[in-house]
Amino acid sequence: MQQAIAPPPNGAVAKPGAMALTSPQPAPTPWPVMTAPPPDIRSDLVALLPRLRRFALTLTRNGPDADDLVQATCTRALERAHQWAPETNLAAWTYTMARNLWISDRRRASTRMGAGQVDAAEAGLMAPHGPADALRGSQLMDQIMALPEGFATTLLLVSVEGHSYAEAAAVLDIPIGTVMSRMAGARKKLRAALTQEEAGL
Amino acid sequence: MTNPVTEQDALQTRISAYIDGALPPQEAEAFEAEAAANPEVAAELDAMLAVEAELTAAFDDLLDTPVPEALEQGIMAEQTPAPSPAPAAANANQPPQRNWPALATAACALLAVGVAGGYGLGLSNRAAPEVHREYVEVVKAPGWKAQVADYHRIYAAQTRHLVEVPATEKDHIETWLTATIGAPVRVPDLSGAGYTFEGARLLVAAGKPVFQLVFTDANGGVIALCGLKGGGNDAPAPQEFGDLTMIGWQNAETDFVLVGPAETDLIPLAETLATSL
Repeated sequence: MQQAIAPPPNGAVAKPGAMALTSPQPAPTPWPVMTAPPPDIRSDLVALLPRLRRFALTLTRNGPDADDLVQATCTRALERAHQWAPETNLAAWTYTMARNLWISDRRRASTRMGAGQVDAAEAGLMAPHGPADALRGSQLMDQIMALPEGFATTLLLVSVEGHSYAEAAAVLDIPIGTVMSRMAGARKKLRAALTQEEAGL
Repeated sequence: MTNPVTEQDALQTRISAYIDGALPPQEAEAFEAEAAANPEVAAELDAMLAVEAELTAAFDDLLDTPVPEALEQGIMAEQTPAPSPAPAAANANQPPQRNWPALATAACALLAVGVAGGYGLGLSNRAAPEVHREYVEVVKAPGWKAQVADYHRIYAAQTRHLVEVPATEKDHIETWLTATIGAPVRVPDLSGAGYTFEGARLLVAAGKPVFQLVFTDANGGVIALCGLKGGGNDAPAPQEFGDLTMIGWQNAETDFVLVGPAETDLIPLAETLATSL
């Protein structure tokens, strides 16, 4: 009977931490590798995709760009998986990356400005919907996407995903006061739009 | 002198911060007292909460858009950045293959932990070559099915995003997966056995596209019929995968596996499927 899991004589075996999520026993540590193996974030990343796409859409406000951004974000996240601290929020970490990528992409790509924006429905990013309520939903989404830049993203983080102002400010790299004023501004605009819509019906 | 527009604007700013729990406790209490005393303030709060509910619903609708399969595959096929030395198993088992999915490595590790457990934590003191031989055996036996098992463990827990394409698009699922797999894919009707078709996903295992048709039972238990282009004469045979049961078989063009929780008796269903598909 061996008493403890000793490191194997050399490192040439499958990485123990690779599937820590589903592994029935904690991976043996310490492990004789030069650097800690990067956490395998692939399955978590796949599970995060619907939310990451939604987040990206609020940044790009058009479907094709959103998917390009998600692609780029995932690639970078996998490259940098070793920098991710497993006890921290993977969503916030990838959101920050997506936001930074988008900002630098925007700076680089002022040449593509002529492309124009496509609304979410046209871009095929809206869920297929039935007639009544869902239509209202998509109209509201159009209004959300038509808010000044950055508002939709802030709204998503705080209203929908329940991040605090401080967390949203960190992801977006803006002051907390800006988060607060964007939230108020977005809500006022949407409130006015919905009131108008009701009055118009 | 008060300007009603500015006043409403200021009220809405306060309400917004209140909704987000961003008012200091004293101010929040003061606001609540004001809302209780002043119907106009209360009405404005209600209106803004209604906006909140609508916008949350609108954002949630966006989550129902199917994720392009290329994105998922791209991630799952990606090698982890600093891969450990390739396990001998992967190489011994497969001719040189550039993108042996790292998932296989993961499956190895996972199964190895199980095996190690079975051998009384026997990794210790074992010479490396012996360890390798074990890996070879472990990997050879299940092959692509081990990867399907991994997928099942991950996706079966995704109750809200169980599938990529919902059951309502059954016709599309059949054409799409038939075209992608390169062998006919048909969605069987398992309602007689108490299973509801939920939809489908495309997986990648052993470098090949694999279809996954997902069904749930009345208790929310998730089973999946998966398959890839292949073919042979194997009759349904069960394989235990720890927490999962897998029954594999073949027909002329396809290798199938039916996967579900370990406690489920899937053999009768697999036998029915083997004759009907």
